[in-house]
Amino acid sequence: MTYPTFSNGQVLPASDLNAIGMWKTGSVTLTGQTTAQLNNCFTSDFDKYKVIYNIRSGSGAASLYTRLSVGGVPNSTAGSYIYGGRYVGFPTVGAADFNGADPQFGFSFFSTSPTAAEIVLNNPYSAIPTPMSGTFMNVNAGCFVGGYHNQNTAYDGLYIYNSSSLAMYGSVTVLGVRN
Amino acid sequence: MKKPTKIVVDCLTGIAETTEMTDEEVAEYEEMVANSQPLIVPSPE
Repeated sequence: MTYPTFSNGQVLPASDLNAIGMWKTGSVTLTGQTTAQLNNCFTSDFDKYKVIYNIRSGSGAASLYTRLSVGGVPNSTAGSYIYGGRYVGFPTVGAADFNGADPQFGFSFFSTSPTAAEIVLNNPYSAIPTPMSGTFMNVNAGCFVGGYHNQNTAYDGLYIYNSSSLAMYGSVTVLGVRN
Repeated sequence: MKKPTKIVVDCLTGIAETTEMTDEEVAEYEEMVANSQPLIVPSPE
């Protein structure tokens, strides 16, 4: 199959545009804020989303946290973000398992060196539990994680914060994945 | 001492606004962080 290419001034066929698999539904550029609230990045247009994080601090280190939100209000129900994963270290290879049930998802531990994390969230805009899977780095380890948020709530956004009051730099992008 | 800031983005319009947290918001944030649980990832041996 050949994929379409476009030129300036060309009329874009709907069939070509509708074949595009991912659309950016939200993003934030962090220039030192301690928290970021993304509203309306989840809509009924998609049932699958990827969230990609590239975050560092100006100084210090902290855990990176994420909560699902609706109407700008994050859900902080105790034990509602349930996850399990595995951690493989570098340069020394050592592996260990981890799991938890927390009032937020925790992805990565960032410092002045940027972290990288990517998660998939399914059906966040539906009033059913939201499954999650992803990969992230944690200072000196690569990790994969899976789990779900167990509330029957339709969410339209994300709240991103950290375990200290660190200023965050970098960006977070939300992509809707077309059926 | 400069207060921490927050950014709110409406992803439908793309409008982003950064504001300084109020004293109340700072207190709420500190309480929220205290109630959050750190991801305990074991160190490799």
